[in-house]
Amino acid sequence: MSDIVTLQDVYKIYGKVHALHNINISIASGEWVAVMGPSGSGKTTMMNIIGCMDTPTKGSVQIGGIETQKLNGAALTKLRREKIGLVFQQFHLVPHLTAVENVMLAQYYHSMPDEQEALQALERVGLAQRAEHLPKQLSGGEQQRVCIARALINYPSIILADEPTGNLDKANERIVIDIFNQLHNEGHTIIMVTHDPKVGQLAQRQIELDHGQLVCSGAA
Amino acid sequence: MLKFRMYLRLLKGAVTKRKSRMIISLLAIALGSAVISALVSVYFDMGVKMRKELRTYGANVVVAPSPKKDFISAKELESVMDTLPKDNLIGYAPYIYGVVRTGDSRLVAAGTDFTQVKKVSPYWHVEGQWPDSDTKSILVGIAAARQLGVGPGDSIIIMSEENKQWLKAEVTGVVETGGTEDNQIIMSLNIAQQLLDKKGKINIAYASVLGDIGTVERWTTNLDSDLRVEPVKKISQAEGKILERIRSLVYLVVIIILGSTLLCVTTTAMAMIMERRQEIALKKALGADNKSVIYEFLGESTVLGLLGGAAGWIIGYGLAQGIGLSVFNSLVSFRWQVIPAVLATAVLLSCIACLIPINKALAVDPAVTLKGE
Repeated sequence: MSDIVTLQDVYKIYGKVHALHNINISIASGEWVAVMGPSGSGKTTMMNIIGCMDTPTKGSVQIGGIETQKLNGAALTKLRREKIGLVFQQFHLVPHLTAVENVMLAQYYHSMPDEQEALQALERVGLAQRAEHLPKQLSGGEQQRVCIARALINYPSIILADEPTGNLDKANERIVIDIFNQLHNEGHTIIMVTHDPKVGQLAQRQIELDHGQLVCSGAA
Repeated sequence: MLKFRMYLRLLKGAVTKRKSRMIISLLAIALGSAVISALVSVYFDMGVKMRKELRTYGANVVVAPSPKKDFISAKELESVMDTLPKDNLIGYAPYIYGVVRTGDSRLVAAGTDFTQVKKVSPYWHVEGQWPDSDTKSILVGIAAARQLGVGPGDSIIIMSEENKQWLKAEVTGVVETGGTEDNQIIMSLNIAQQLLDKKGKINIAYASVLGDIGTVERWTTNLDSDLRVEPVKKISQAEGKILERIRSLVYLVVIIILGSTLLCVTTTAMAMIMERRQEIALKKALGADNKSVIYEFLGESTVLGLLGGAAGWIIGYGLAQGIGLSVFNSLVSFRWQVIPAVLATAVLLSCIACLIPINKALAVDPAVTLKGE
């Protein structure tokens, strides 16, 4: 399979601190990769660079064949909108919008809101009956599932998930992991940051970072 | 359409979600708009009301004969006054003058139309009663009355110095004007014309005309008449100066109000942006470009401006009536033009107030903010 994400000799330097140091990674289309490592190891920095929310100090980053370091802010936003679905540890739902409206929000910025399609996305994560509920009326697991539905709604090439189970209890963690399994089986590319080795083992490949450097990259 | 519906949902959520902050902004805009609406309403009416008010201080146009003639005929005077729109002419008082004797005293007698004098010079203070028109009743100026030792109810013999004609007249009142009239004997125009043997003749006329000095000057300049029709510049210019000063005061108050409202709304909007940083960061992470962020905040500002402006206009209209009643003793007229003017000002104000906060919103870094840093 062709590579959908490629990082070549990537550095991210803040003053004297090397948040990322000479990172070389390729992620194939349809692959499920777990990014692991202790706090401050550079996981989030790497995810931000892959998610087009940050740019490397040095090196080359390709997302879907597009070199991101040549892009300006607006073009990075467009690339993120077109190619990437984001799942956050803190869910980040808009509190005054219902579940279905939160899903439609991603459609709104991408192209055209479609309530039916948004409802189908919620149905896919088992939340069709909670579509009209506000985030505060949903459990943590349900909020994360809305977040996943929102990430999927624009058919992204890559799903970036930052500790998607970090704020969930065991039961909800299981439900969310099942959804990711299902997405992987359907051919989605998933890049997931996790602290949890059990969750990491579910991925096809684990990338481990420490002090901004790649420690290992291999099959789980 | 679907996109617009979603836009409206976002707007509704943003406006209703942070009620306390929105209410503060709304109140600031409503109060600012109320003062502006009241001042603008009064400002539009002020010119007319002030001029009416100032007209009580006397004539502002004088009509004199052409340099070649000594007198004006009643017909000529009427034809000049007919060129003015009826609503603009408060009144005009014709005068004929002559020297008379009463007893040993030599005085100036003036003949005029008392009905018109009441309109043109409402400041005349009459002790006793105004004489009826075309009767041999007279007013005596306060200084003349003192000189003659007469008062209301007394009769005097008045003799024209020129033709020695005389008449016996009853003093109905003593008039005090602070002007030359205080030394005169004032009688009906017809009676004076007969006494002085100047039938149908008028020496001078004073008119009270509504309008600023420019309007009056335009009228007098464009007149096709042999008569000398000239504005009393002292009065007209004083009127203009008073109005100009009040206008400057209105501008100053409006600028101060706009400035303070702008400051209040900007501060509140800044606080609101800080509270909404996560939401802004999320929208950016989901793909919102700068244009989308700007549209959303300008949309919220527009809604805020429209609501605040509408409330402000209603309050301001009431305020204007209060000002009208207390200052001019009359209500301020309803002018629909004030509504769009106040709404547009409120929306503009609200949008300008959001420019700095929008700039802050555009600077939100989603990577940093969503991580909670």
